[in-house]
Amino acid sequence: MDINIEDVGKGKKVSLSGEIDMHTSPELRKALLKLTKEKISPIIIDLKNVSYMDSSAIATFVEALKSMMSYKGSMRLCNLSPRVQEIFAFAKLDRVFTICKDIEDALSR
Amino acid sequence: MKKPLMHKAAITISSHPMYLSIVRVFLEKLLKLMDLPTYMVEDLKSAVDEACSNVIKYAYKNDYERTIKVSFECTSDKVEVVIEDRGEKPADTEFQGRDLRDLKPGGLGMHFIRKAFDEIRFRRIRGINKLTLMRRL
Repeated sequence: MDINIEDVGKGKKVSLSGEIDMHTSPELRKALLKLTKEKISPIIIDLKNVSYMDSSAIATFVEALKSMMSYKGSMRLCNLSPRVQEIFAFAKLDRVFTICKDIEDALSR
Repeated sequence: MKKPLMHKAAITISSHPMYLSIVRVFLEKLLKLMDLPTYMVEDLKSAVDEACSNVIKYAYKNDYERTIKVSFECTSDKVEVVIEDRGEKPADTEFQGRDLRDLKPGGLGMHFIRKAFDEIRFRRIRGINKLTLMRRL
């Protein structure tokens, strides 16, 4: 998995690629919790190049989202593949996260 | 009458999470031999991945120097995957998964396993945990 973080206005865009599983999610957790510790908002997660995601990835997003709630921050997920969308829907998290079509949609929210 | 075996294979990996991707590739290649629909391949692959992750977390308590054996058998009417480890016996609660209405990290893996497989059987025989997952086709 690769993580690329860029400034977007007052927030950050976190572009992820590759597979997010039990092996790689600790690195993602570290990166996201660093941003939430700095009270960054919005955090836009671009999942366009994510080829696989397990429950530890979902747990990492939930943990970061909960951390952002303490400062009323906004996390937006975009470019979800149909499979990843299905995973979020199955876990009943599609109504918890702000899910956007693409980067433009995420920036306009 | 017992259906003829179509495919049979097994892999033993180290219990380090870096090897989970190898199990996924192994399963994906085998399942594709059976010409199953993509959604089913993805569901089965995710479920076995989650089961192996649970072994690392709960049976081996994140000891990365143990082993996990994943055996795969399929006939024309079912896919069966057996996951074996020599770790601690998992607590019953570890087979439940969290309430999906609760917003908290973790506890989703068992839901993925139940979604993919029709039968889940756990046995502990002479110190070996044996999780058998069966999907009817």
